[in-house]
Amino acid sequence: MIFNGKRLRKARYYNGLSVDDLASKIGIKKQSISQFETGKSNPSTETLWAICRELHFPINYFFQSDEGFDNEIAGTTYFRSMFSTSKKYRQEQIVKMEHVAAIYSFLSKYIVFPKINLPQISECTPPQEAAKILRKHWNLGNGPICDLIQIMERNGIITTSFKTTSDSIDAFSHKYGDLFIVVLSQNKDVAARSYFDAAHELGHIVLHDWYEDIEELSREEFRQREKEANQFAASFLCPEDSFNHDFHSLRGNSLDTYVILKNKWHMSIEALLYHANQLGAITPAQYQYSYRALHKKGWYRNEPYDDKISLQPPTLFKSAIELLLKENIFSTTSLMQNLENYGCAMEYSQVETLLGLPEGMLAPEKTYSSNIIPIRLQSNDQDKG
Amino acid sequence: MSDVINEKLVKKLPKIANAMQNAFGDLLPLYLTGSLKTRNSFPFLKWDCINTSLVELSGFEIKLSRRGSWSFLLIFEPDSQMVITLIKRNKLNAIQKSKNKSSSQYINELTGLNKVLHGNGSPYSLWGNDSEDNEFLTAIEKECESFTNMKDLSKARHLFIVFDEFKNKLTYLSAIVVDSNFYQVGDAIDMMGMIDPEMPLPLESVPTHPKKPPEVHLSPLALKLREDNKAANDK
Repeated sequence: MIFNGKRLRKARYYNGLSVDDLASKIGIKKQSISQFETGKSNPSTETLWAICRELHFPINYFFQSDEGFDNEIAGTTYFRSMFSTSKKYRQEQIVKMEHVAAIYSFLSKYIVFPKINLPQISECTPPQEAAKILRKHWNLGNGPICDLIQIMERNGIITTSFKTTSDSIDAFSHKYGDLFIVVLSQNKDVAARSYFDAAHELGHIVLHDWYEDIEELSREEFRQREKEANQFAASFLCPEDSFNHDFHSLRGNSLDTYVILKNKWHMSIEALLYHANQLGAITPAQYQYSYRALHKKGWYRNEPYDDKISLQPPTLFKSAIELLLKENIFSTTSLMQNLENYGCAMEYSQVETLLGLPEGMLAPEKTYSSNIIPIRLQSNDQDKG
Repeated sequence: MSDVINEKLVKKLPKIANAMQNAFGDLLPLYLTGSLKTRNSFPFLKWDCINTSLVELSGFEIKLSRRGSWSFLLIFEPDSQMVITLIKRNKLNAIQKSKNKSSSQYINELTGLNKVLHGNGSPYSLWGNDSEDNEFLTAIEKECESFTNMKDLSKARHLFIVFDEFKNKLTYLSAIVVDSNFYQVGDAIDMMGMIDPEMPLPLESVPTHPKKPPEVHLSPLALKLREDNKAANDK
């Protein structure tokens, strides 16, 4: 068995640690970590155990090849709030997404997942038009969307959610072969905002080129892409005609108007204001005024109805694993063993976290065997005898 | 409990309490479809939601009434012979604090029904049974003509349902009787505790597409494994 330095780097990224951080945690020089990662030297057994303990990966993980693991991952990763997050945080999320992709790849040997179902949309299509085309393609009508995550999953877009180490990361997406994976941060517990985040990532999927390196884009170019994804998200969640009808029925630009619209369309008041401005329903001056009023009311963080609107969590991975367990294809132990054999040795709790599964769903089952010889404490009398 | 409020009416108050809660939870989207029963100006949208929620309550006789441009509900409870109306807490407080107890004419008409009652601290004989009463009684009589179970208007009394809200949530709800000088008669009945905690608040807006969970199936490899496992177990 050969120690795989790339796996050490992955595991370090996964835990959001710098070389310095890891070296100080396990009490060795940072140069040693670099040498392990580049394959110039191998860690001692003692150091290896310390690495496993700190990075929460089983020892086998560091001796597996990367074949079929990350080689298939190509293209770019879109992050919301890219400029406000450090590269370290972005690397952490990318590596986690690679693991999600590897687990998906493993599961798809046994499970037929929904196929990707997206319309052909040329790159020069305006975002509002693209949103209209996608709604029509998915037969969504013009009404509110209260099950966006399930709609995306039904149409072959893999969605999961987990906690991120930085609150500034809302959502991110990546292309994996022909497959798109969207991750929603669980740090944000406001459903109306998460709906918008998911629709925003959908906008990137539909509108943008996935083979360019967004790290090389200028700030303006990146902002333009984000703006397009926002316009798409707003138009997708609340189509222009429906918005105009409702907005004009309400006859007013007070914040109460947006509270009512939020209740119907499950978009945050901030996003609805943005939408109204983009559609020309209000003037830029009205937008600025209302935006200031929103902040003055303290609705920047907590808006009305935030506690009433709920987001249905992703269910695809949960359904897939439930099916494998229910049909006795695997036990939880053999599932994890097969995942390890596939080249992705991980702790079950990590898999649960990455796939957004309920805690303990993949815990090893308790087995009782009749062949176990019962052990009894000897009594004092026997000792004497 | 206030002794002026009939026991049978108290048993019916939870219906009003739940309808009020419903108005604060669920009825705003009705505005979009133009389905609200009253349409006052936009700042009074909440009132339209309350009126819509209450207008079809069973066990009461309810009629929509108007004073100028203002639409409101008159609710009549036959067992207690009480006419019930709604008022916001700050409005009632403001009237009670004002020296001359000035209020909208229709509110004076309604509390005029309680002229024989005497509230805490109310000066006697401010209202008599004199000729000036006839004028408001005529107005009220007209309003109450359609209440088929009202036996005698002179014996009917008036009850306020007082409410308050904060950020679209009902924060205060009680039933209060005041005399014609707006002094409280007896104790108020707290109605917040009458709201059914299990009452659903269906806030979801209605999608125009069917909801379906994503479907997953076993692959041919998994089907084969299932057969193999079954065969192994059968042995």
